[in-house]
Amino acid sequence: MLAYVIRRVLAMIPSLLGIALITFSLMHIPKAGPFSSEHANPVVTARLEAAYGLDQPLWPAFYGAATGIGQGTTLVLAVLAVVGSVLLRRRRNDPIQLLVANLLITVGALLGVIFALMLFQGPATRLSGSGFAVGQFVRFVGNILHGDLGTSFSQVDRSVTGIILDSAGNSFVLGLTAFVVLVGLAMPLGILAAVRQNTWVDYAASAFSLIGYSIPNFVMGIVLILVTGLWLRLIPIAHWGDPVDLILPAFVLAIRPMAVLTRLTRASMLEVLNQDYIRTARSKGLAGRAVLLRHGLRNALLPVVTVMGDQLGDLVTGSLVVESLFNVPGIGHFFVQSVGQLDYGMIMGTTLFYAALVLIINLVVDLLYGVIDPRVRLGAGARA
Amino acid sequence: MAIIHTSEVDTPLDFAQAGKARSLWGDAWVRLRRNKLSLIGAAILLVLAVVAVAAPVIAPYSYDKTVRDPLTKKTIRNQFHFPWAEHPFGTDDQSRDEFSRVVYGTSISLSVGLISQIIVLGIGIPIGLIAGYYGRWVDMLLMRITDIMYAFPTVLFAVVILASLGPSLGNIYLAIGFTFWPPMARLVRSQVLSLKEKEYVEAAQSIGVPPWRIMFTGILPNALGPIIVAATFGIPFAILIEAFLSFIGIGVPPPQPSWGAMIARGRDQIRSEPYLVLFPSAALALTLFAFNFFGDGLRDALDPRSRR
Repeated sequence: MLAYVIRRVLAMIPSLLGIALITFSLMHIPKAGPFSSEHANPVVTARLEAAYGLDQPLWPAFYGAATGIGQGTTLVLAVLAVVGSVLLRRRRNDPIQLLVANLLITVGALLGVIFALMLFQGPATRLSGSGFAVGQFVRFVGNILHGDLGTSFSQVDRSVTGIILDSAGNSFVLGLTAFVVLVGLAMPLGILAAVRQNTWVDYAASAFSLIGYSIPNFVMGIVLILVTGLWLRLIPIAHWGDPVDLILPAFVLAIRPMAVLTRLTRASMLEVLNQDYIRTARSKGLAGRAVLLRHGLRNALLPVVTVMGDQLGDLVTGSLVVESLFNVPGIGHFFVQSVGQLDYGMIMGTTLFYAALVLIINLVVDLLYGVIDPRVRLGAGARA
Repeated sequence: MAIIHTSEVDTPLDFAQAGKARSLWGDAWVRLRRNKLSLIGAAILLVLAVVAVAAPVIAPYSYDKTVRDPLTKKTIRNQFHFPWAEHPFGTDDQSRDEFSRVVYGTSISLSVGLISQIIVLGIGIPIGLIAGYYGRWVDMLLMRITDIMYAFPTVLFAVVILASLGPSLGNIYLAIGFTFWPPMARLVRSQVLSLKEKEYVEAAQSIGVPPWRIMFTGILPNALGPIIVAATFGIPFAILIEAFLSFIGIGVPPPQPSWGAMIARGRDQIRSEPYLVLFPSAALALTLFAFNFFGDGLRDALDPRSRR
């Protein structure tokens, strides 16, 4: 079990590195930076960029006389990593060597990409003389290892980590409430629909999940604000701080995952209830509820839990729009704001944070799967 | 896998047409026709497609031109007309005819759905085929890349691409296409992994059919069912993502009438002119409904085992 967790956490590293690489290179394609505008004084812009370290080359680079050496070294290292990986993989019965081989080939691929980027983007440095610069990317990744996700370019003197820490509480409360709403409504509804198959309960549940799945959450949010906030005046709108303010955003955030979960619980429950062991349980005179919950639900939960990771990921990304819509001062709200302001530091940091969060959620869900289904052994060699 | 539950699927039909050979696709068509909801979905889709293609004919006004008041010939007082005969959906904050904009918006939404899915198929199918067929290090390398992309929270990647390339319709196609290929590649690969063990593939290999022909004419057609279903569900998802991106302001740029952007604009006047939000929202919801209805039917028709 522990070995499995360690292996999964190690496997996250290349994924996160890859995501950091993709985000970083995408963020440096545009000509217009966060500090450039039509009216800006080029000298001021240059100073600002220097203050934020944006005048450094993007990739590790030998600049001046030694440019070729740096590119050559990267290429050689990339080839070495790939060759090493292929050689190690020959002996595939040893799991540790396999792991090292997997890591090596990832490193090799990354180095190859960096080499290509070096060729195309060049060491576009404004540094004079000749020497070696670590480059913005390596510094970015290095800072992340220290828990520093970078600097916001639009919010003065604020680090991305600081912004995330300050707003994470709000996002967490919202997400947790949405999760409670999600499980608390979708599961019972799905079970009820399965037990009362082809009655009005079942049809209502199907209609609900179809509506929830087809109406975008921002549309649902606006309509709910209009009806409950403006027409009926039940709930204060665009306000944050009281528990009442949680109701609408949490519901809107949960609606799409809820639709999926209701359908899946119903289908899974129906399949289980037709099994022989349920008939056995009934025929030996067990109470209806015991059959349903102990024999039915526990088995029906398995396929439900497998998609739970996706649904929780939906909660995370859904929070972007819900937080902006309801003015919740959470991470998603600031992220959407930073996108509008081309605040690259914030975009990169937050994206990486979200990616790590989703990966961790998926790991937890997989572990949960092992708890619910004793047949799943997450030990050595269970999943290659 | 061994036992297929055909009992509930189509016994009466099997008896009725006993002895008559039916192809997989003919079979699927028969099943699809019996699903009322999916037929309704298909009908709506047909109407939407006609509206999208014939938008310039159907729309009474241009999507970006200010509409003049028919009496005074002035533009300035013609904003926020309540829906009425001449402007069935009213006019917006820039005195543009909302109905025409919703009509033009159909073609934008549908084009995003279709073109982004073509990109998804264009990347996902070759990668899945090659990884699944060749296996070994090719598989490992391609799947590593796919896994990294897969770990990227979906919407975020599209946001990052658009923030980088700038908002435009073409970039939306790219952003959504590049975001959603990894699940497609995984699906194709898993299909190939089971299909390449079949005897007919071995037979083809033994008589020296080149690998690319085995992949594209031997394996791919047999994996088409799940791929089509996945692509059908991918279209409404892409439309949803486009609406979301336009809603937060990095999607289709202003003069073009994206439903998501129209909803975002209408939000500012929701108190006094709620219809500016309601009409594009209804159009969006209707489109997504239709695709999901149709997709459901298609899945049941093409893959009766995966009934949910």
